[in-house]
Amino acid sequence: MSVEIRMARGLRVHVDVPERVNVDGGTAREALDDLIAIHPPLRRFVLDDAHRLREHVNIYINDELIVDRQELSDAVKAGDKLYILPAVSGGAGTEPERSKVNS
Amino acid sequence: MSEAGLLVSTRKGLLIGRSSADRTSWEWSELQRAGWIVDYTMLDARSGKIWCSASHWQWGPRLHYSTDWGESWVEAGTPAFDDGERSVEAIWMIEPGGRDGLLYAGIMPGAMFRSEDDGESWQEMTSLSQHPYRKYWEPGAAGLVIHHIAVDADNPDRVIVGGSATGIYASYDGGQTWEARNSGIVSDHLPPDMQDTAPCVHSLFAHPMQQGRLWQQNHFGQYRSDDDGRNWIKVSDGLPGEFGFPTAIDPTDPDVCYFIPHDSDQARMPYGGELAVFRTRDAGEHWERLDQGLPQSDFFHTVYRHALGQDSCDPLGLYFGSSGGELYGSIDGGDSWSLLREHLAPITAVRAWQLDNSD
Repeated sequence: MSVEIRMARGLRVHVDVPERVNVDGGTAREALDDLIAIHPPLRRFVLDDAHRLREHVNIYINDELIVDRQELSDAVKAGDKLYILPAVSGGAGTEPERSKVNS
Repeated sequence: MSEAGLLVSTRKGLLIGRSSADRTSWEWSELQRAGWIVDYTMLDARSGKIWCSASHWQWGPRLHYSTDWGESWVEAGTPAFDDGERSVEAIWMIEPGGRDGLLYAGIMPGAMFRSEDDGESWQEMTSLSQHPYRKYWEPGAAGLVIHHIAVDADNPDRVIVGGSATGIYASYDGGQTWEARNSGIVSDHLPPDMQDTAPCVHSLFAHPMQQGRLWQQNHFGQYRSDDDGRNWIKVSDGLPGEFGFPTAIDPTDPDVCYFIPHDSDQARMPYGGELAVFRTRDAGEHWERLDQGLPQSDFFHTVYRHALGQDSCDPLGLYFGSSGGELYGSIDGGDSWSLLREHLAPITAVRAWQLDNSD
């Protein structure tokens, strides 16, 4: 089934992908895998080495944040919109632990 | 005609400085890799490539290189774990190996990778990750990191690495096997019978002229070794304190070393807010305080572990940056310093080069 994935501007400034891509899949994982098959460079932006969603990346299905960040098993259906968005976690005080010091 | 250069990595991008051989006037690039945390940048003199490891809050780590002094960047392969559990968070050091196309990468969390094809593909050196002492490794304030790699230019199979808090390991077979090299290091965070397992290394250099001569800034003191780390000799007497991060050497003199002591692992800044570099010329027997041109009050920043670099000019050039975004330079071996840049983002790494363009 066809799902529209929309990618945030904050992602598109780093990797050459269109704002909207139609993919197939019955879960968020399947839709994302289909997207990555079309645009392979996206994989390392969205997923870590273990194929988990990066800590500071969010996926919404329509207006709901996905529940299963580990397996991305949340169901999608034809006509859904899936949003890949950077979390607003880059500001002071919420930096990842490794970035507090480079010492 | 020769040319000098500076690679200044910051938490918000990279600056490239270039100068004629006199090093008195620098031309600076625009901010490269803007918005990315640049952890480390170095020039591989073999290929002429500037390698830049950077990571992004949301989008993870990346490795790029430039062959045109930062005018353009090419994404290389990025080291990645393949066990389905761990994930590379940052690349803290890239180091040329002893033969063409060989590169090493020090990784957070605690691992080392190698590339045989000049950065196109990377393989984890599991021989280090699976060392029997691995169970004793403990993350420092910056995480669990292999952050220093010393390669013997004349013997590509001799590699010495250190990290926080992993201790030091030496290999003489190109990384197939590793020997712990921590004897003599005293660590307050380890029980008496475990002192040689996983000291907290802050920086590590192997001198290119004298086989076996190593210098180490440790969490708990400054050390020298004359036998490739089989035995470490504490050389902190004469320094204001034991804590600190960076080390620099004089490539032409194994007995010369530079440290920037900081006031404890609690304050992490120069003593009394007085910024000073310390130099030994006799292998750590005596230390000179070098502060001419440096702020002597109210300096409350940290100099990170990679943020002190030296060139290979005569007299020696030294450059360091602070977490406050100030870059200082000396072109007389540290006798005097001047402020080269300010208002930068926290400076994570400084590396210098000298190229002879006379051919």
